[in-house]
Amino acid sequence: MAKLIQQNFLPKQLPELAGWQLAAYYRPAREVGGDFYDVIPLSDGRIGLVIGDVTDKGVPAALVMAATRSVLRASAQRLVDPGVVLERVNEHLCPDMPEKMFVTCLYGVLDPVSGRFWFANAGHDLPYVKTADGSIELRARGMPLGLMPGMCYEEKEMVLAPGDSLLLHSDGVVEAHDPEGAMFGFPRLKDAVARYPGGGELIDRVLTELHEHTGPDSEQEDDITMVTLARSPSAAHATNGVATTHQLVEFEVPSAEGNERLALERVSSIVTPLGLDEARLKRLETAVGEATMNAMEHGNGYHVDKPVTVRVLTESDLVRVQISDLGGGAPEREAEQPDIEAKLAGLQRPRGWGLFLIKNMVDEANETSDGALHTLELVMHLVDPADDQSEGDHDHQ
Amino acid sequence: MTTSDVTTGVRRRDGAAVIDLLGDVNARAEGSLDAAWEEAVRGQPDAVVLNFETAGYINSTGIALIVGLLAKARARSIPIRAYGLTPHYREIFEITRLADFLAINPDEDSAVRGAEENDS
Repeated sequence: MAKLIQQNFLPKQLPELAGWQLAAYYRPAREVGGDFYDVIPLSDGRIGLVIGDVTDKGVPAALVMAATRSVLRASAQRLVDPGVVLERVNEHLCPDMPEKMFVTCLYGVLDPVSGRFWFANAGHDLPYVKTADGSIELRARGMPLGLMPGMCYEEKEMVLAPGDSLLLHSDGVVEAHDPEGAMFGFPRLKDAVARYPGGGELIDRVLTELHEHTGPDSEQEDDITMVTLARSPSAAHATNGVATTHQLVEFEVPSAEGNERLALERVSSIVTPLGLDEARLKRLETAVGEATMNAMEHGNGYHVDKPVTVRVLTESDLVRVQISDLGGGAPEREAEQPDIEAKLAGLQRPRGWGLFLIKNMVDEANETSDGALHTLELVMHLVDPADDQSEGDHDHQ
Repeated sequence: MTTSDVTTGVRRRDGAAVIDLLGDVNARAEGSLDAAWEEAVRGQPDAVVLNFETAGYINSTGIALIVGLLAKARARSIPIRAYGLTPHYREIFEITRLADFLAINPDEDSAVRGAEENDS
C-alpha cells in the first residue's frame, strides 16, 4: 500500500529542457521509506525541483509525503520565493503532523535561460554542484517541515554555468553501509559528483559505486532517490579538435521486452528535423532499436530497474546516438557472424542478427566499455557519404 | 508508442496459402506465426505466401522467426514468397540474405503465381 501511494505521487515523466539534462532515480527499500521528489513546471518556463524525506516508514510516511507534495505543488504555483514556499508548506503541515514525524525538504527554482538556481532547505541533505573548480555543497539554513510553526527559511542562489551539474539526493545513498558497517558517506558522494559527468550518467556511476560498497548480497536499507540537473556545455570539442558536439537529449528506457520501440520512436522524433532522408532515418531507427534490445538483454538482463540510457548528439554533418547499459564488465557480445545458410542447416541458432543489422544500418558503430558501463555509439551522417563522394567526383569531371 | 502484437490469418488462393501478418513481427509474434504456419501447410500447398502489407515493426527476433519458417519450409520442400515489404524491410531482407531463399514479389497476384518480380 505504501509503495502504491508513494509511486503514484512521483513524476511519471520529466520535462525536457533545451540545453539541460534532467534525470531522476527512485528505488524504495523493502519497507518503503518516505522519500519523494518532484519536478514542477512554473510560469515563464521556470522549473521547480523538490526532494524530500519523511521520517518513519510505511503507510504513515507515504501519507505525509502525499500531503507535503500536494501542498508544495500548490504553493509553488502561487508563490515565487523558495523560502516563502517552504514557510507556507510548514504552516499547512504543522497542525496535522503526527507526533515524532517531520519532513526534510529542499525546494529550488531553476531559470533554464539564465541558469539561475535559487533554493531553500528545510533540513535536507545538502545538494552538490559540479563546477569547473570541483564539487561544492549548496548550504541554506532551515528547520524540517512540520516541527513547529512560524519558521523562516534562508534562501541562497547560484548560477549553473554550461557544463555544471547539480545532484539532489536522499540519505539512503550516503547512509548505505558496507558489510563491515562503514557508511558510503558524504565525501565519497561529493567526490563522485566532481569526477563524473552529470545527468543520467552520474546516477549510473553513483549506483555502481554504491553497489560495490554494499556488496552484491546486501538488502537496500532505505529508499534511494537522486535527481540530477546538468547544463550542457555550449560547445564541446570533439576528438578531432575541430567539430563541435551538441547534446539534444538524454533519456532512460526501462529494460523490459518491447521497450526498444520507446527508444527508436523518441530518437526518430528528435532526429527527423535534422534532415536525414527517409531511408537513412529508417536505418537509424532499426539500429537504435537493435542496440537498445541488446543493451536491455545482454547488458541489463531485462531487469526493469536497470534502465538503458540513450543520448542523442549532433555535429555539423552527423548525428551520434549513444546507448549505454550496465554490462560494462561482460565479455564481448554476439561475436558470431550470422550466416543464413548455417542457420537453415541448423548449424547456427536462428537468432543473432542484432549486431549484424546495426553495423549494416549506420555509417559507424563504436563499442566502448569502462568496466561499469557498456556503450554502443551509432554514427549517421546527415548525407550518405557515398552520395557525397559521387557528387564530388562528378564536380571534378 | 504504437506497438501492436502480431495477429495472423491464413487464406487459400490458387493452390497457395497466404499468411496475412497484422502488427509487429517480434518475439511476441512467435506463437501466432507458428500457429499460422501449421495451418498454412496443412494439405501441402504449392507455396506459402507471407503478406507484409499490414505488418509493422520487424526486429531481429522477427527476422529469426522468418528464418525458422524458411527452415521448416525447406524440410517440407514448400517454397515461400513474400510481398508488401516496405523498401526498408526489403533492404533488410537483402542484407541478411533472406531474399536469397524467399522470393520477394511486388504484389499478391505475382506472389501467388510464383512470378519473380524481374520476370514480369
